[in-house]
Parts: sequence; C-alpha cells; structure tokens
Amino acid sequence: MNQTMNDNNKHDMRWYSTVRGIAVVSGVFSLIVAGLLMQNYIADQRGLPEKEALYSAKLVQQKELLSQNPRSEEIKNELRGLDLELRQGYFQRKAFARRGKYLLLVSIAVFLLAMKKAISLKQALAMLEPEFRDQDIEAKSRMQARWAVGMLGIIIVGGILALAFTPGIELVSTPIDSGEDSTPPQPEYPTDEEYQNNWPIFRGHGGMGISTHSDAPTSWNGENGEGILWKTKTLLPGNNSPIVWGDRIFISGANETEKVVYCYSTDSGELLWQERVETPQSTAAKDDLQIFEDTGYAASTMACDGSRVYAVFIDGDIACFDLEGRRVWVKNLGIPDSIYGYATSLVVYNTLVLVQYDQGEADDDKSALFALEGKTGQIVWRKQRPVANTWTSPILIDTGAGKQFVTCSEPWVIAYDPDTGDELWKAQLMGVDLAPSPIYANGLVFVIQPNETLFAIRPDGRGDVTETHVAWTVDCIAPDICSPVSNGKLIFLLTTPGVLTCYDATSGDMIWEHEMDDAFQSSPSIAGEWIYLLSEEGVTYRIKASDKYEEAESKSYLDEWLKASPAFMDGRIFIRGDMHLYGIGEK
Amino acid sequence: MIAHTMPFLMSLIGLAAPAGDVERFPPPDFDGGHILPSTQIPLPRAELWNYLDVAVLFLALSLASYLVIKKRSRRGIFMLTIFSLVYFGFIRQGCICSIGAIQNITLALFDQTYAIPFAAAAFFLLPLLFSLFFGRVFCSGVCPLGAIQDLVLIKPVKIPRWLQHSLGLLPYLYLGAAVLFAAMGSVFIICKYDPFVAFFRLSGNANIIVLSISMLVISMFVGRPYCLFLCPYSVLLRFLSRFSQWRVTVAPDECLKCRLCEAACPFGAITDPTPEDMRPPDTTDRRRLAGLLLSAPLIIILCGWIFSYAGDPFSRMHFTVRLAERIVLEDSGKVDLISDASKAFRDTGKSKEILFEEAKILRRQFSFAGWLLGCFMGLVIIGKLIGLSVFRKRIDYEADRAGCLACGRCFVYCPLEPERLHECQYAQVDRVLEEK
Repeated sequence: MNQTMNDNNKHDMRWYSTVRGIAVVSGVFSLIVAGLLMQNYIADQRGLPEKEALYSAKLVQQKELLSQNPRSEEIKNELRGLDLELRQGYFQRKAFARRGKYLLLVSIAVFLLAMKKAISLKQALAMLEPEFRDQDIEAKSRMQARWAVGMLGIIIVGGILALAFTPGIELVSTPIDSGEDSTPPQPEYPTDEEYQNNWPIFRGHGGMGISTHSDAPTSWNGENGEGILWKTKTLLPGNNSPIVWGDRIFISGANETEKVVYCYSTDSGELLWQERVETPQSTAAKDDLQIFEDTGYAASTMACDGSRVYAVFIDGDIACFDLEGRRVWVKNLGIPDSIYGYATSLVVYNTLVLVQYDQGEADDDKSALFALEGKTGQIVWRKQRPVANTWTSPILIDTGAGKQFVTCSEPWVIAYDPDTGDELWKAQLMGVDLAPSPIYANGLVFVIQPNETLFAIRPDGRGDVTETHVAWTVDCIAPDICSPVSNGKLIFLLTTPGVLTCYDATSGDMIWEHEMDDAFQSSPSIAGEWIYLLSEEGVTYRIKASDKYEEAESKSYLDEWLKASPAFMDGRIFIRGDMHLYGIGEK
Repeated sequence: MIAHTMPFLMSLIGLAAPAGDVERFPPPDFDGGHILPSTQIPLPRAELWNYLDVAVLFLALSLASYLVIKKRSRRGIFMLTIFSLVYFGFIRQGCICSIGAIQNITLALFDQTYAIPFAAAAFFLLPLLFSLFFGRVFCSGVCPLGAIQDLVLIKPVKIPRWLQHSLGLLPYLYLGAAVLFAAMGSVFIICKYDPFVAFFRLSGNANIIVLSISMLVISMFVGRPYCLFLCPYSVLLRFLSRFSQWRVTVAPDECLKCRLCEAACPFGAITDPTPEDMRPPDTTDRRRLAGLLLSAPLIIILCGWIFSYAGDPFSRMHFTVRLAERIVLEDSGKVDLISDASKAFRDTGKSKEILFEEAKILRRQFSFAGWLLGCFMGLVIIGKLIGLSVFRKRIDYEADRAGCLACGRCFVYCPLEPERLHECQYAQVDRVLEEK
C-alpha cells in the first residue's frame, strides 16, 4: 500500500515538474510575444503622430507646389509615394498585431492550462485542516452581511439620487428673449436687394441681363489702357461669364486635365484663391468625354449666394466653396449626355442651388432638375423632365403671385415652383438646338426658337398652356446664341451675325431693326438707358434702349476675343476675354 | 511568482490588444483617379447556423447535466468548459449568448414590431429550463463568459460572506437596468458593456479592453466575479435552480464535515451546517424580522420614488432624447461643433418641436420605468435583509441551491468521492455481468 502511494507521489512529482516546465516556457514565450506586440503598439502610438505631422507638412508643401505646377507628374508621383509609404507602414503594423494576437492567445492558453495543472498537482499533496463555527460567529456573520447589504443598498439609492439631481436640459426650440431690443433672426440667404446689388448668376440677378447700377463705364480702350482698372491673365480657358459678390469675382476654367474655380479681387484683379474640382466619377470618365470645341470644358456660369459659390462643369462635377476658397462639398451628377457639351448655368434660390440637368433626347428620360441644399449639397428635391439636351440657362422670375423657375428645352418650356419642384405650367413650343435663354419682362416670359420665332407666354397658367397662354408669336430671324434683353417696354434681339431687332414687349410688333458691322456671341445687357453689346472681336457698342435706333458715338475696345457676357457692378464692368479678365471703371 | 506574473502578463495583453485596432486612414485626398469601392453590406448569418448553435447548446447542456449529476466528473466538466469557450466564445464570438438574450426577449415583449430570432429565444429559454431540472449546469461548463473566468482562475481568495451578500445586489440592479433600457428600445447594455467580448473577437475599443483586462485579472484571484456579482442572467438561474429536482450534491450519502468541499469551492457556494448548539430566535431577532417586514412597503415605495427622479438621466440612453438635448445645446451655443447625428437630423428638415415632443414623452416613460426599477430594487434589498434575518437549520455541508455553479470541484475534494466512484464502477461491472 505504502509502496503504491510512494509510486503515485513520484508519478505526480514527475508530472508536476513537466507541467511546471511547460508553464515556464509558455509563460516566457507569451512575455516575448506580448513584449513585441507592446513594442509594435508603442511604436505605432508614438511614431504615428510624428509621421503624420511630417507627412502633413510635406503634403501641404507638395500640394502648394502642385497648385503652382498643376501638370507636374513628378509632384503628383511624390504625393502618391508619400501616401503609399504611410499606408504600407500602417498595414504592416496591423498585420503584425493580428498575427501576434493569435500567437499570444495560444501561448497564454497553454500557460494557463499548465499552471492550473501544476497547482492542482501541488495542492493534491497538501492536507486541509477542518474548522468549525460556533453560534456567535454565525450570528456575527449574519449581522455583518445585513449591514453590508443595507449599506450597499443605501449607496445604490444614493447614487441614483445623485444622478437624479444632475442638471437637466430644457427642451425648448428657441431661446426665450422678451427684451424690447431683440433682433429678428437673420435669414440664411441674402435679400433680393443684396442680390440686385451684386451679380450672382449668369446675366445678373434673375438672369435678365439688367444692371441696377446706372453708372456703368461708357468708354475704355484695351490698347492704351484708358478706362481699364486692371487686366489679369486667366489661367485656364472657359466660356462661362464672371459673377461678382462684394469685392470678389468668380469664374471657372478647365481643360482636358483639370477643372478649377478662381476667385479674383474686384479692386486689383489679384487672384485670391483657386481650387481644383474633381470627383472619382469624372476622373474615371475622363477618357470617354466628348468635347465640342466651341463649348469647352467650363461653359456653365457659376452662382453665388453670398456665403458660398457653386460651379458645375461639362463632366457633371458640381462643387461648392465658401468665399475664402474652402471646399464645402463636391459631387458628380452623372456624366451628361449632351451633343455639344453641358453648358447650362446655375441659379441660386434661398438656400438652394438649382441645376437644370438636361441631356439626351426628350424620350430618353435622362433630363432632370435638381435642387441641392447649398450648405450640404444634399438633394432637396429632384424632378424628371421630358426634354432633350439644351444649352439655355434657366431664370428665376417673380410674377407677383410667387416665384417661378423657368426652363427652356426641346420641346417644352416648363415653369416650376422653386420651393418644391412642382410643375406649374408648360408650353410645347421649342425645337432643337436651343441656346438663347428665356427672359421675363412686362409680365411675359420670352423664349426664342433660334432663327425662327420669338414667343411671349403669360406665366399665370397651370398645366399645358400651349394653346391658351401664348400671348403672341413673331416669326423672325431670331438669335441662335445670344439671349434677349428687355427694359420692360421693348425687347431687343441680337443675332450672331449682328442683326439687332427691337420689338414691342406688349404687342410683339417690330419697332426697328439694325445690322451691326460685327458678330456677337455675348448676350446683350442693359445698364441705365443703354444696351451694351460686346462683339466677338472685342468691340463694345452702346445702343440706346428706346423705340429709335441710337448708337452712342464712343465705342470701346479690347484687343481680345469675347464670348462671355459682362458683369455689372457699381461703376464697373467685369469682362472675361479669351485670355484675360478685365476690370473696367475709373474707381 | 504566479500572482505577480499573471497580472503583468495580462496587462501586457491588454495594452497590446488595441494594436490591431489603430484608426483607419481616411481615403486619399489628392486626385489620383482612385475610385472608392462601393460599401459592402455583409449578408446575414445563414439560418442553418442558428439552428446548429441551438443544437450545440442543447447538447452541451445535456452533457453538462450528465457530467454534473450522473458522472460527477470534474475532468469532463473542465473539457466541456474548454469546448464552450472555443465554440460559443471564439468561434461564435460571444453572440448570441443567453445573458444578452434577456434584452431580445424584453424588446420582443414591449415592441410589437420586433420579431425575436429563434436562436435568441432558444438561448434564453434552454438554460432556464435545464436549471429548473438540474441546477445551474449552464454555468458549469456551457456559458463562455463563465468558462473564460473559470479557466484563468489560479489562486482563488476567499470572499468574506458579508461582501458576497452585499455585492449580490448588483446582478439585480444590472438585470433591472438591462430590462428597462431594452424595453424602452434605447440600448442593449449587457452587450454594450460585455467585458469578455473583446477577447472573443480579439478586438474592441480601449475602454472595453481595459474593462476586460481588469475583469480577467480579478478572475485570477476571485472565482468568476462577473458570474457572482454582475451577471443579470444569474438572477433568473438562481431563482429557478432553487426548485431543481436533481442538482449537485457534495456528499449524496455521508458527510464527514471535513470542510474540504468548502475550501475547494472558489465561489463560496457551500453552506455550513448550523451549529449544534444553535439557540432559537430571541426577541431581538423577532423584532428585527417584524421591523423589516413592516417597513418593506415603505422601502419599496421610497426606492421607486427616488428612482423615478432619475428618469431624465436614464432617458439619455435613448437616441431621440440624446439628439434633442444635443440640438438644444448646439442652438444655445453651449457646444461648438455640430454632431453628425444632429447634422443628419437637421438635413431631414424635420421639425425640432416634433423631436422635442417625442423626447419629452420618452422622458415621462423613463420616469415611470424608473418607478418600476426602484420598486424592484427596494424589493430585492428588503428581501435580502429578510433572508439574512431568517434562521434555517442545516445539518451537512451542502452546495447552495441558488449559488452553486456546478463546477464539480467539491466532488474531487470530498474524501469519500473515490469510494463512491469505485462503487459506481463495481455497480456498472455487476450490471454488465448480470446482463450477460
């Protein structure tokens, strides 16, 4: 018997030594693995911020260099290399940590099992001494337990009481202020007056080509600098027209490799900032994009709501920047299917940016109208449109009975409620290849079928008003590019070859016609009592907006090809030429 | 040596664990033509696997019952513990578990639109059913949370009885809070603050990792601290196992009163025999009991009233209330940044007044729920105190019906156990011979 017990003890002792050895080895191994993981983790935590800082500094530097040399493949590759280097390091550390965790888990499991076995073998050799309690110990133990339960109960209830007295937050939507001098909340968008004092969209507020400032410059000469406030070279081509807000002018430019938004000073013409626009979708479609040379990559005029500027490009990229050039959002609306390239300009309304995004044929079901929230770019409403691609720009009109957003495409002229996107009225009047934009004057919406017809539509109808609300129609040699302009009584049409025609805005009767000795693509504008006509060859004519043809004696000259429409501000005109941006005025 | 090595080692693991969870990089912000991949939505787990999980649970519970009641095999329970840790813990990554299923059941009861998954219902009910017949066999070797604590237990220290009784209040509080928040559709706190899921998934945020490490380090010296002092499911198991017909018996035949089983049990689940010279309850004892019984309604109502005042803080666990309060803070300029949730809400164009009204309704509901939780806790506290004031006579050292985790350690240490097993083997041989 004793011999058997001794044999068992020896057997247990041998097992004890073995499992203890396993425990020691696995424990040391676990420590090594844990140490390496720790080292990896600490290196990661300590090293990463430094690397990131270095990386960011380098990145900023490289970005600045890239903005100065936007075509430099070397800088681009260096940027990509920097990014790749850091990412590789990150994923290597992550892979190391992943493998280490599994290794550590296994070694710890072995260690624990070995330790438990070793302890159980050792404890099997020990004998425990029995103890007995008497009555007093039992009573005392119960008393202690009652006190402990009671105390913890009090602590729990006390904790809840303390929680209940934490300061609450009153759920009220607006701060209560009964003070007499309380000011009304500021709207999130400019007033009509602010819009009128600036030049926020294509052809100014409403898109009518009318300046509220009557003191526009009357004469300038690009050759000798007379009347030219400043002249700044534009960096990328673009047929879009300048817009102005306060002391800043905005234009966009683009070519086959890049698209950029520019901001210039109205006082000096200095380039204040420039920001590139690109999305993964447009980058992927870059090689497949078909460009019509006359349209170019940046034909759509930008828009500004006083806080942000918006730009849309030929590939459907639309971007928003604040006035300091910080990008607010950028997105792609889908690569547009447009035979001459997308050229429709943006419109701002309250907090919305309205985008007429017409493409394909009328029955393709591709065209749509987007209302994007200005500060986020999110779609507030979207309406499908049964129209084909167009090159007109929409206008925002106030009929007295409410605002209307008027669009002109083949075959429909359609007016929408800008708040909801609900269709108000539509007229099936239009044919193909539309470029002149509609205008609103004398209570009528004027639309043009190039080379054929001028239509006047009353905007107070609902539904299809083709047969009911066309006030009058004039068959004429209507403009194919330039949009019309009106002073409310008369409407003036300018064709590309230079035929300027004046019609009565009420009856549609032709008042006069005059053939200019020049060609025009820029749409005419009215400032004061004068119509400003900018010819392709850089000559500006001033024609009196009256029922008799009267041309001002002085012509103005810029030694440059002009296609864009001018922007009028107080005492100044801003003109975008083929190569330069001009600030014209005396102040 | 062990006592010093293990905490250090576990701390190292804890510190190393987040190494795999370094924040991801943002996508490149320069224009390189990189096309971001579309977001992948993982497919739901195949239904077949849910049935398999339930089948494995049922088999594991059956095996645990056999090993605890019939076989009395600590080794078998230990092996089952390892299996459960691997399968329910590391393979299934701790989800779904019976403890968390409390919340699914609660939500299904209070939200008619919520369809409870079959697996969740089965995971909730099966262990309770088994505990009704066989005691807490689920805790013995099937629960992965219990398993991981059991396996790291190396040098258990004895927890004083008073501390064990008082900390025993916490599982009730946790259960009550879990039911409250699940019923209100706000948060599943059991899952959110699961201290071991970070280990099962080898991943987790820094707070959970620290919680996990702390719990495991404590588990090396305190037997299953989560099971004893936190687990909300243990409240239900304790209750049902009191009625179990078959359960762990330390000495089914004869008790030597050697106290070896008490020393072997790391969970303090062995009850002593009452002293032989135990006097009957005197006047003081009777007065105390009477006082507790009479004050019970008052304490319950008082607790309910106090808890009801915490309705507003409780309601912050609900997304709608949190969002409403955030918007108030942002609008009043008390916080500078607009949160993502707030921005998303504002972008919807939904009226703030409607949101605030919803939040106010929720606050009132939380206040009422606070009443119920407070009354429940008052009942638990007074029930505990009454339980500790009632004297029951016990003759032998026994496994506590409610507290015994059926781990089988007491079997091994009972001096008469080898003899029982020997007899059992002889009986089996006799039975075989008789059959032949």
